[in-house]
Parts: sequence; C-alpha cells; structure tokens
Amino acid sequence: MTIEFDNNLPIYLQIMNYIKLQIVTGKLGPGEKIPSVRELASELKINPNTIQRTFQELEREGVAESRRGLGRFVTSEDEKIMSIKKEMAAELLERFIGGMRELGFDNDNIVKIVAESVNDGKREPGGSRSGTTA
Amino acid sequence: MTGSANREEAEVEQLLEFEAVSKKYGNKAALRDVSLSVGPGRIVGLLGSNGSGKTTLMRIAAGLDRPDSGTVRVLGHEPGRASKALISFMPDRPQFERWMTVGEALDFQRDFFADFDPDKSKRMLEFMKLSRGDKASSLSKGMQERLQLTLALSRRASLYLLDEPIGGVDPVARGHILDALVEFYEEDSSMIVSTHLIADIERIFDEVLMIKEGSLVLRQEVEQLRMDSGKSVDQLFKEVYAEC
Amino acid sequence: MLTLLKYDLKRDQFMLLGGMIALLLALLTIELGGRQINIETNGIAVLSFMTYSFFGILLLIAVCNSFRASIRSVGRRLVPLGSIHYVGAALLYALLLSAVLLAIAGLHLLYYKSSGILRELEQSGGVTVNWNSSLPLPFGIVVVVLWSTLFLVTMLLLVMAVTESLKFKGRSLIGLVIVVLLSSVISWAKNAFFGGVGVGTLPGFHIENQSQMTMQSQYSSIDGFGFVFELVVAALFIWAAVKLIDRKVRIE
Repeated sequence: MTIEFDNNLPIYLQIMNYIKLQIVTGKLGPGEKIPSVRELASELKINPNTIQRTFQELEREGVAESRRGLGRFVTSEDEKIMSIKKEMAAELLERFIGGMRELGFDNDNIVKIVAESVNDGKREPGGSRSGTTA
Repeated sequence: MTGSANREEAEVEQLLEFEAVSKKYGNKAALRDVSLSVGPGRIVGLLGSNGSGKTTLMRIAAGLDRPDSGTVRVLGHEPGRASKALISFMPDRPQFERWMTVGEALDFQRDFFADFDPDKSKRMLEFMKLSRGDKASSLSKGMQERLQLTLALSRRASLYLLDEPIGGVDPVARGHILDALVEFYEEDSSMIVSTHLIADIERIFDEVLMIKEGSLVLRQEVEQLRMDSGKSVDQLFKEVYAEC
Repeated sequence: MLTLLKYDLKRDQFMLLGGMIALLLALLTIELGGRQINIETNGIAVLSFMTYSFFGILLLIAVCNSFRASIRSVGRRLVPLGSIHYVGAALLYALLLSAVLLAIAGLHLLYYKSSGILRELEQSGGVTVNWNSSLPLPFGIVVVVLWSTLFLVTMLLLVMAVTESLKFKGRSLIGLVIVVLLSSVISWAKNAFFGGVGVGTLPGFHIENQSQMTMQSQYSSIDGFGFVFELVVAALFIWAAVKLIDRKVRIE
C-alpha cells in the first residue's frame, strides 16, 4: 500500500480518498476488514491519531463500521459503495470540466472530446478500465 | 476540532507544562518567556533552525538544565527524580559512554529505569540492525543515532523527548528512523521531536511548535494548519523564518 | 548508588586492573631487586611505604576523575537518582579502593611479621611505632586510614563540584587554591579547638631519612570531639556538593 502524500492538504482527507478508491476498485471488498490503526500507521508512516481521525470520518460517512472487539470493516451495503463511486466520479468530473472550461472549451466541445477520447481509448486496455471507473 | 481539543485541555492532565520559562547562557538568551503544554497521546514537532532554543527547551524539560525563571511541570512534578523516571530523553549527542558496547548501553538503561522493556528493546535492535556486541563508540554516525533512538524508545515512558533524531543522517537512514518512530511509539504516551528537516517528518506530527530566537512563535494542529492555509508545515516554516 | 558504582567500576576496569598489576610489580621489584643490590631492610621498608603512598594518591585521582565524569555525563545525569547518589557512589568507590590497597599492605605486613623482618626493623630503629590509643593497632590503622581517606575525598568531591560549576578557564587552579584553603582552615580549627586531635589526620608517618620511618599516633584518636567535628565538616561538604550538583554543575 503506497500513497504519494501531498503535505499541503490534510493527510486524513488523502487517506480517506485512498481507502474509498480501494473500496470502489474492489481492492477492499464489501464487508472486508480494514487494517488496524497501528498497521496502517506504520505502513504509511503516518501519525496514528491521523489514521484514527480518518476512520472516524469514514464511520461517520457510513463507509466503514466498527464492530466491538473485531475491528473495522468496509460497509457491506452495495448502495453505499455505489454512492461513494458516484461521489468520486462527480469530484473527478467537476475538476475535469473546470479544467476544460479554463482551457476555453464549451460544453459541446467537452462532450465531443470526451466521446472521441473514450472511443480511442477502447483499444488500450488500461485506458478503457479507467474509463468505466470514472 | 481544535476548539474541542482546547476546551478539553483544562481537564486532561498535561504531560508537560512550561509557564513563562526563560533561560540565559551567559549573555545569550536561549529561551524567552516560553509557555506551552503537551497533552497525552500526541506527537509534537518542535521546529526551529539551529540555535533557536530547541535543545535548551528539551534539556530543561529533561531536568538537565534549570530555567532562570518560570515553572516547569512534568505530570505535575517539578523537574527532578520523579520527572526523570517519566521522561525518556534522546540527546543530540551520545548518551552512552565511550567504553560501552551496544549491549552494555542497553543494560545501563535496564538497570536504571523501571519502565525498560526488554522485549521492545530486542525488537528495536533487530529493526535497527544493531548487535549487542558492537562497540558503541566505533559505530558510524548513522548507526549511533539508531542506537540513541533504541535506548530512548526501549523504555515505556510517559513522555519521549527526541532531539534531532534525523539530524545527521542520510535520507535512507532517515527513512528507517522515521519508520522506527511510528512503529515503536506508544499511543498513550507523548513524543516531542525537534527537527529542522521538516518535509520528511511532518506527516507524523499532530501538532507543531515553532520556536525562533528563543520565543515560541506558532503552535498549531497540523491538519488544521493544512486545511486553513493550504500549505505544508515545511512551507509555513520557511515563511516564518524568512520574515527575519 | 550501588548501580552507579557498578558502572564506575565497569568503566574503569582496565585502569584498575592495570593499576593493581603495576602496584604488585613495583612491590615485587622493591623486595626482590632491593635485596639483589643489597639495600638494607630499612630502606626496602621505606621504599615500599612510599609506593603505597604513591598509589594512595593515584587512588584519589581515580576517584575524582570518576566523580567528575559522572556528574558531567548526560547519560548518568538522566537517571532518576538524587544528586547524593553521585557523591555516595564516589565515596564507596574510594572506600573500596583503599580497602584493596590496605588488604595488600596487610598481607605484606603479615609476610614481614612471619618472616621476622618486622622484628628486625623495630630492633634496628628503622620503624618506630608510637601507638597510644585504646584500640588494637591493626584495627586502629584500618579505621584511621579509611576514615581519613573518606574525609579527604569528601573535600575533594566538593572541590570538583565547585570547579565543574565554573564556566571560565583556570578552573583547576581555583580548585587547587580551594583545597589548600580548606585544609588549612580545617587544621587550624582542629588545632584551635581540639588540640589537633582527630581521626582525619593521617597517623603521622615521618620518614626521617632513607632508612628511618616513625609512625606517630598521638594525634589519631577515634574518640573525642575531634572526630565529631570531622563528621560535621564532612556532612557539610557533602551537602554543599549535592546542592552544587543539583543546581550549578554543567552537564555536557
């Protein structure tokens, strides 16, 4: 497990996003156990309190749930996982569209470019997978 | 988040408290009117350039130097016998003696500190790739720092004071020492780590204290700082020190 | 205190072992070599005595160095012990080393006694023992030597604590001045109030010439106010040294 952290942004948000990404891409399956604070802290070389906070936030959002004495687990509700997916997609899209607008593309052009790019990408296996995720 | 932490501060017993502490060496002021407190379960970065007063602050907390004015409390105790039993201090120069082997340096800790944990020390030795039979004073600088850290973290102390643990070592060794800090840190204790190399280490801090010419200039929760300013601690540090 | 002493001994083990071997070699050389080149028995006894005195001085230096290293060392000063323990460990160290030195000298004396050399010395006037205390002689010598060593060491420890508290150069010179001052004040006080009687005055050994040595004991007395005076002075020295270690001694 490796994350390239950006020290300019709160670390707990970055870890939250990272765990969500793992859930969405299926690396952490529904109902699967999440590593402990200790494990994650030594793995990522991060302050345990920061990991603790990450988990608290994930629980608050319903992405993870803690079971007394057993540890923390990914939610097993498919709906929740789908909503994380949508949320992440929305963020990605927002940033993308914002960037395109800054470059001077209007809505029609943006759609056209995306369509072309997706069709080109079909030939590359890597490109197509990221296409479906987004 | 900080708001609630501040409100709780009054109730939680502070591990370390400085109140208006000043210290001079000859004519040179090393600390000017420093007040701070460190609660339990925190990793605190003590940031400042060389000669800013980091070492003085730690030596006073560890009971090696006496402040000229102000009060210091360690879990309510004045610096002395009781506070020394609670604090594990890693000085910025060797604390082991020239004649000692690695093993003898560890035995020294075991003989004098009730909170020495032989199991932890064994795991740390392994992690640090040190062997008991090596002569401590003939180790390389990097290995000596590893030994220093092993000596400090082999205890289950309430408060760890680490003076420049990544100061004099190359980036690879630095990474290893950072790993050890996170790996062997006790979650219910607190740790104050002084450093002037911030980028490498800022992710392990809960909170930072910036000290400049003996005065405390900033005290902030690290995540809050990133959220509010959109800057890393390293960037902020450079800005604070560029001002002069 | 004992743990500190243990690490003092560990640190100094090679020096101590070396010193012991040097002492034995020196004594052996004097005994055997002296006889080889026909130095008279009196001369041999005087030389041996001087050797013991010399190693006694080395012993004081070793204890002072050990104490000085301890009170300055970060590692030692971080341990949760009160400053009195550093003084205590140094006094025990001094006691231990003088006991070893005395034991060797005792064996030496036993050999002299059993081989009849002692009687020969006394008859020839090479060694005169004036002992008029109520205590048996060997016991008296042990107590007097150990106590006077301890008394001297408390003074030296205080002086070390003073010099280690000073920040400027020329500290050792100041230390020397203090030693001279303190010892003159003490001996003046003893003379003025107790007629010079006390235990802390080493029994007056006088080496008259190369072959004559007198041991005067009339100033050594374990009973009396002189001894109480010395106890009080030693306690004061220790108290002052502890305060200085607490507050002033610069740790590396």
